[in-house]
Amino acid sequence: MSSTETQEYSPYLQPGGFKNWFFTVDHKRIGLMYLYAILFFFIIAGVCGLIVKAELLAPGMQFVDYHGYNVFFTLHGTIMVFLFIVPGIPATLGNFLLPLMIGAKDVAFPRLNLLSFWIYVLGAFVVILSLIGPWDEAWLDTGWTFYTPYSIDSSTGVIPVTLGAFILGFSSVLTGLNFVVTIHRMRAPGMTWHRMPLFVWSLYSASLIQILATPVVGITLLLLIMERLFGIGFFSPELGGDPIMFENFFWFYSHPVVYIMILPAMGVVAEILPVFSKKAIFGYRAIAYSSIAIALVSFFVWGHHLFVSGMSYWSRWIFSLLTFAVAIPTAIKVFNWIATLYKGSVKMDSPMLYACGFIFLFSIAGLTGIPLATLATDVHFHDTYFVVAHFHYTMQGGTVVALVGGLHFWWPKMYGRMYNELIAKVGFWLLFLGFNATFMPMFILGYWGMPRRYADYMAEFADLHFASSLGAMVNGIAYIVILGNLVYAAFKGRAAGKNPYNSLSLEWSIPSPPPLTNFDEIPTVTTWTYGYGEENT
Amino acid sequence: MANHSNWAPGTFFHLHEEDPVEEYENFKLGMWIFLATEVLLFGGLFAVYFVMKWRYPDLFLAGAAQLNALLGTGNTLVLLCSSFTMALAVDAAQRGQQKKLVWNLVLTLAFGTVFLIIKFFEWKAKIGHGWFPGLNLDIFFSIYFMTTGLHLLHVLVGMSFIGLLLYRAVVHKRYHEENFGGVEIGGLYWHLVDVIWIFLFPLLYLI
Amino acid sequence: MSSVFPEYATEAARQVDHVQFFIFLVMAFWFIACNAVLVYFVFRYKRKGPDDKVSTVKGNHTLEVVWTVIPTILVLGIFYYGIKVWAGTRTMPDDKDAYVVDITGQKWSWSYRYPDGQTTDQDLYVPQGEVVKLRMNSLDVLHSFFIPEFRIKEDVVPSFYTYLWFKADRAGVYNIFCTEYCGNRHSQMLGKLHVLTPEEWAAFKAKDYFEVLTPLEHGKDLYVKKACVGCHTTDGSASIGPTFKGIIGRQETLTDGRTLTVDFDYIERSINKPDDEIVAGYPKGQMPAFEGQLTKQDIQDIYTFLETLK
Repeated sequence: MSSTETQEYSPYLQPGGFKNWFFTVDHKRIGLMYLYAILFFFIIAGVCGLIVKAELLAPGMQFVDYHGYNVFFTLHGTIMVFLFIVPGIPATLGNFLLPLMIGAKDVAFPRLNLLSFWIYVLGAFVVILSLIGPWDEAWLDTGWTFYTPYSIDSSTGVIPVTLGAFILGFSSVLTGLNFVVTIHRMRAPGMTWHRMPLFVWSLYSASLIQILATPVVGITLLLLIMERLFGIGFFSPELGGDPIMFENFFWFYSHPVVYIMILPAMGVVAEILPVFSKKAIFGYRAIAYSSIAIALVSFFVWGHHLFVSGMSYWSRWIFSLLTFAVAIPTAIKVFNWIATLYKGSVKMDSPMLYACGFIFLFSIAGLTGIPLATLATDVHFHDTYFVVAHFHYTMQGGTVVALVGGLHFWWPKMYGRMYNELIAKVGFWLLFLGFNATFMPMFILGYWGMPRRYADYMAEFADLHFASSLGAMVNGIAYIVILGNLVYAAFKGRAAGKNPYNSLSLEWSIPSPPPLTNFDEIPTVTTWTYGYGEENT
Repeated sequence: MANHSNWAPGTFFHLHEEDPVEEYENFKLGMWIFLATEVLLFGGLFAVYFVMKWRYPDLFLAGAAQLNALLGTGNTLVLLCSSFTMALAVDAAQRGQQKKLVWNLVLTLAFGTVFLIIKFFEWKAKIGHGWFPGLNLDIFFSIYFMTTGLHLLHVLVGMSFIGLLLYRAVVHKRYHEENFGGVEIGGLYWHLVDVIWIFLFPLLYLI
Repeated sequence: MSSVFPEYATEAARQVDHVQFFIFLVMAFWFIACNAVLVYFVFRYKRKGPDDKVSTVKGNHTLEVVWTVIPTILVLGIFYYGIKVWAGTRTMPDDKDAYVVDITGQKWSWSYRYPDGQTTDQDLYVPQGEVVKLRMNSLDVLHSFFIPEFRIKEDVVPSFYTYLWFKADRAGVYNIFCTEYCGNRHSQMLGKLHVLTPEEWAAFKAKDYFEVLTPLEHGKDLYVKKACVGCHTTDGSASIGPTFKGIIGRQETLTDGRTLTVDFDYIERSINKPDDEIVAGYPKGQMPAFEGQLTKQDIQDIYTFLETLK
């Protein structure tokens, strides 16, 4: 390797200044800007969520009125989904790592990458515009799902938010397009498909979904905007429209989108486990192909969100069966991950703690999907707290935990500095404790029939709500600890060195932080990424 | 181009050099993927069309009868011709035939303009009759305006891109045997715009 | 509640609980198995030093097949069991074989019409042990009718009917929830299902079940049951709609600038078509239109109640 240990090269973090960052075409800088943006919105949406949980501490309305509650759960969902978790891991870790992992100097279309980021900023701005206006009339209260007919007549904030989401869709599509072309065409010599890191396979699968599913929600939101502006009867019954058609179109995108959220998260886990077990990932091809399989099957299951919306008998049958089909490749991944630790040399540093935490929490998430896929039980659980618990286990217990674990893992690469390991571990356990305390009671609340999106509730649900809300406070404090630790490390952490974890992946073969053009010479790859222990045989 | 040396490396004007052949293949793959997203976008609209047609068959038959099939056919022929001239332009670029390239780009734009003019008159007539979203609740015409409107937007975008190609071909003499990727991907996009109309025309005008 | 599940009140609900219990066993098994193995591996293969011997195994085809096939079989089994139990609930009995109640959902109340023309609001009354079929429709946005103790739920949609059916084995009172977000008072769109014993049911059918209310009592009852209480206070405090305190005889200015004195005719017009004459400063599109739902007698009784609110 010609890259040196001494600081003779120019790391990508310099020079600073607004112009050099906002007009950058370096994928690493774009990844960081996305990171700062989505963390900002994560905090805002998180605060909205904490307001919701604070109101739910006790029966009766203590802090906000009904409208206020509805606004805050809507903002929480909308900002979390569109401004945080959909860009999520692909836009941040994906942008930063993809070219590094495949031995490229940048993505296929660096300027398009920058455009994606600017479009994201524009979309976010338009969404924020919705908050300008009277509290009662402007602030959005439809829920992030914008179901018609309520969203046709409801608050004026519907148009800026849906327009903003429409714009954000372009950002998502262009990023997906960029990644697919990059992966197909920019791999270093010798980096065959079957030598690529699994994180790259997961980004590829997620990008397929981004490209194919996003346009459909784009047109759906466009139709909604047209209906509000011009009174066209696509979805309003009194204008001859069909409100259930909206649900179908909306979920045609919104179900595949959850796999955009989770597949890269699974990819992160597949990168961390081998490094901290010093052992090859078990079942590489099974994990790689199951990512593609999940991406494809995910397009055929959207109906399970509409099981009680008046669908025909046979439609419900078919969607239930297909939903089970998407569970199988997921289960296969879980088994392969666990098998990776077998006869390895396991070190439970904080990234590994997060990866194992992911497996634990995601297994709950995936398994609780089964009663939701089963028709007889879904009828009871639909639109109750059971569903809320299930999707928070997948999104926070899954994607967010993987993102945080990935940030810990690659933080030394991104900044050349190491975080405090003890505080990182404390942060993990606070998160694990707080998260489970918040959402485990919700499964039981759902069994008891507690409906979703209820500003107030009957006395018999009070104890569990109280416990859940206390957990949410711990959940929130955990993020302060975690992010505080990482931010401090970026400025003041001790120097990390090129490869503190002794990983075999290409991104660890260059200095930390990487030079602007990544590799002095494009490497020629002769082995796969997970050849741990092979040098000893 | 202006002096961009005061921009740091890694910013907008300091991209790393890419092998032209690689870049060409990248652009083509990128454009095909983008076309796929456009197909999904219009696919969603077509799905709405079919759902509404199934619910209100009479409304759709009556609406189709109100449309001018002659003008619609004219538009279809115009777009087909424009696709043909665009293909000729791509061929000219690949062979380095500058005059043929420029002429065919101009013809493509001309055909595109004819399409716009015909569309203008069609829409003018409908709006004159009071059939416009917001003024009239007829779902057929709402879908008509929505689909032809979105298509029109894509025609304009396509024509702008072809205009850019024309400018670059005439002023910078940019396209020749070693560099014709831009014309090719412009051609791909234009052909998609044409194909979408080929589907739109019978669905709206003929059945 | 003592147990994890709410009490089941029908045989169908009990079946659903059985499916759930089966699924729970499967979930618990896999959860414990996977995580126990994970935790075991973490401790068993803990790193001892930089020169630990590790296995170089990369995979195992047999294992992949086994742990693909077994979950597939289990999942198919769960799917089949779920369908078997669910199919019965979706096979609607014919109208002639059931006691059919028409349910109307609107923001934010439920109302019910029985085959003999009797109507109730908020609370639904059904006979024990008979097949009851619910024919549901919404007047405005999406709602959903959910009875947890019966494990049944179906969305209530404008522009077409949706259906549920059940046979309640136990007499008692059960919760009704709206479970599709429908706006401001979604969480207050509640009701109670009363499953009546044969004696009570006979009284109900003979319209003898409810104590006879005076016009004033009936008006006050309607004020609650028709959800007026959600937006109109009686103590003068501000809410979504004008307060009822002192409303009769009050001078009001409408959004179009006209002023009028509130009298019976205005009350009647407002109840039937509220958006035509909204008091200035209050939002349009919030109050449902009750045209066709309340009789003239109902409105007179409401007026009688309003008159007492000085």
